[in-house]
Amino acid sequence: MSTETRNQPTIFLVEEDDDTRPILKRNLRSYGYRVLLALDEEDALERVGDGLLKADLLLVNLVGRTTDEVLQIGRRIREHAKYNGHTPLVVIAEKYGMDVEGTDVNVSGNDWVTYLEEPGQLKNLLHRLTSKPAGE
Amino acid sequence: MTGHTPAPTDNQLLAHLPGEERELLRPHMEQVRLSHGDTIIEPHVPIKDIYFPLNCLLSMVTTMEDGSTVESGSIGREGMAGVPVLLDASETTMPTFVQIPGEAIRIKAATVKQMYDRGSAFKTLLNRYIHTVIVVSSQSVACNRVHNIEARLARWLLMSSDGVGSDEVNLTHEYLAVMLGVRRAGVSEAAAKLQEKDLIRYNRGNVLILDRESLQAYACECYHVVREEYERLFS
Repeated sequence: MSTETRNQPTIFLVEEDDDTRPILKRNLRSYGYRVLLALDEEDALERVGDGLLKADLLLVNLVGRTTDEVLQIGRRIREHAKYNGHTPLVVIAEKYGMDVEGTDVNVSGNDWVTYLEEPGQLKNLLHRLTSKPAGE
Repeated sequence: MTGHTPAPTDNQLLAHLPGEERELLRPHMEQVRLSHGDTIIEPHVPIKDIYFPLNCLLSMVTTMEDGSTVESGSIGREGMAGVPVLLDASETTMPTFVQIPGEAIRIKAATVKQMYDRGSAFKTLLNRYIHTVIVVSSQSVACNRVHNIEARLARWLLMSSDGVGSDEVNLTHEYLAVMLGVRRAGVSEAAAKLQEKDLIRYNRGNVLILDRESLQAYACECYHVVREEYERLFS
């Protein structure tokens, strides 16, 4: 691993959609992140099972479930991975109205739900969350 | 098109009609204002009116059993809504609704069908249009299968812009996701890529094409295939 890669924050992306995964991965890398991928919850739990997969942020995009359900999944993965309790969890919402579009909601602790609309919104949120000193 | 008052000849099909045939239709034309969300064709209901958009964009959406939706096609000033009437099908399986509000010419389906059945230039014109609908559908099947989201988004933005005759289009984020058949995260990140390259400016559902030539170069080949076929038939 190069020095540059080592110094880059790492995002663990759980994305089950085959169309969305490539563009999210490409964009996250262009934003300066090292990206680890999992296809779904089961895959993610398997990958983090030994507690050796380190990440600075967990980004989860799953559909067919409520936002609360996805938050629970993200928390399970984070716990299973033995991440620092402050490791941010960001859930990308899917079904929502224009009233919440463009907002990032801090649901509790370091758990967030983002209702994407603007280009750059995800990039800005991730930068804010990965720029914070550890423990904040 | 600032300051331009929409007229029937803003619709490309009506514009290409020989003058005398357009005059035959004129008494039957009703210029109407369509609002976002209006459903102008209901599924499984006999189609009563044909619409020729002047500066609005109509959308046909297929809803699957699980509730997911994908846009099947859009109709702007290049075309008409109500093709099943011409094909003696009288109704269709998909709703057509107004995505971008604006003006359209509405003519009773029976009148359009009667004039179509008479033959001559009107029939030839509409047959060619039906052919382009098939080309768009076929190309879209391939496009959705092989092209990435960014190239497809560029294509659809150009098609929507062509459809309303403006470089500025209002397309909600949700609609873009339906149009492309992708997750909303995919829309945001694809739009971010296009914006980063200064091809578009996207802000709260308003898309402004900044560099059409470069956006066309960025779009997948499907945009050009369809456009060239349309130009071949209607130039």
